[in-house]
Amino acid sequence: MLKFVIAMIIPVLVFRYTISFGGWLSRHRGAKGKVIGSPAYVVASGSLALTGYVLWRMLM
Amino acid sequence: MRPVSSKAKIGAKELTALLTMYVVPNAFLSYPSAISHSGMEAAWMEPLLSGVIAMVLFLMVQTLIRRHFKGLDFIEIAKETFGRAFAILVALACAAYLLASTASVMREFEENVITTVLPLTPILMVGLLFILVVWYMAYCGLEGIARTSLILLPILVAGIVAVCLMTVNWWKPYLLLPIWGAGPEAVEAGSLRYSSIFANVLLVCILYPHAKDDKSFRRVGVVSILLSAVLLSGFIAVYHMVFTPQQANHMTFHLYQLARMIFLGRFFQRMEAIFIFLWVTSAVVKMAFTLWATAYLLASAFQWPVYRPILPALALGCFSISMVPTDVMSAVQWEQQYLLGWGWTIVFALPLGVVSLASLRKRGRRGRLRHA
Repeated sequence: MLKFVIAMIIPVLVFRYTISFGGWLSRHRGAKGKVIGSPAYVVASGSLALTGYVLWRMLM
Repeated sequence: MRPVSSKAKIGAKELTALLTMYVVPNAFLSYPSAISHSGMEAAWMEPLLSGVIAMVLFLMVQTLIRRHFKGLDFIEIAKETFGRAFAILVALACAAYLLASTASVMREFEENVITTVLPLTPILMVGLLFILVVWYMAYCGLEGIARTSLILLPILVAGIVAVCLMTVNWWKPYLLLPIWGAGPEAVEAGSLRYSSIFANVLLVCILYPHAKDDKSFRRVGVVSILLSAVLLSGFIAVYHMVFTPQQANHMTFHLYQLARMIFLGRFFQRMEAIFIFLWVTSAVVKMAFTLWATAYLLASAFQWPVYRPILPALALGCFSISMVPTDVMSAVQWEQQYLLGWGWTIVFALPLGVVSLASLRKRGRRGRLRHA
């Protein structure tokens, strides 16, 4: 479990960084930004979920 | 904010090297195994035939873009003609293909490194190092990747030629007989099925606005396809003069197996260690290019002003997808079945369909304006 938690630090940081990129897009484009920022959230969530699944399978 | 497409401009030499570096690393992947299975002794003909198909399609797409959509990339053409929603769908399809292709190359090379040089290192560690380098190269941008390709291409070509020539004492030319192998129909079918390794048609649609010199772009495409086809064909011919197609079907790292055969006396044997780093470096360039292209397509479709902030998430996703197959055979099977077998739909059919329909529509609009 500890291995998994430690291994997930980088994916969580990447997730946080990508979410902040989505937020930046939203702030810079106003109402339209919400639309162009949301794919970044999808990519961030997808990569976090997939990495979590793979690391869980390999380390647990 | 500047659109993402108005940045990198690269010269003809760099573009040629980049497109060649994208295709040639297939010699280290499962492509030789796939074509050995379909063409048997005539497998060496398949890269040549696939190259001819790719070249015809490349020339068609390039001519249409030059005539009707100068300075626009694939996504911008789709957006201008069919609307934003369609452009997003096209970009997502291409990005998914490129991401899956990056993941597949990554997994095969991870396995390659583990089975050959680092047998005690965990695959997660090898993958992590790979993805860090690929991310950094993609972060440096298209210009950086193209210049690296220009430096590496002569070394890669020399490496492949050296492996082929150093095994000359193992060559048995009669292994290439019967000349048509599994038969002309099988060779033709294999060439069509696995022609997606020449992704130049898709890449030309992505790279077109990045060419410094528009006029030389046609030469870039032709030279890169020719060079890649000749190199792959030459390698497969030499490989089949050393190993039979039946043996090739059971092997995964073909160039490595060939390099292991080198025996030119007591002081020149087991020289594969020299070549492994060269192959890994060229694979890194290929993966960096596909990762960059994925990020660029997404940025272009969703009108993001920059593509770099999405790279860490894409790189992580790519690393995770590469770890999904449970073993190397599943990874190879997955690549052969989906990426090589169905890749033509994304690599050829999609760009050709979009550009042709967009050209017809544009011509129709012009005709209507003339008659009004």
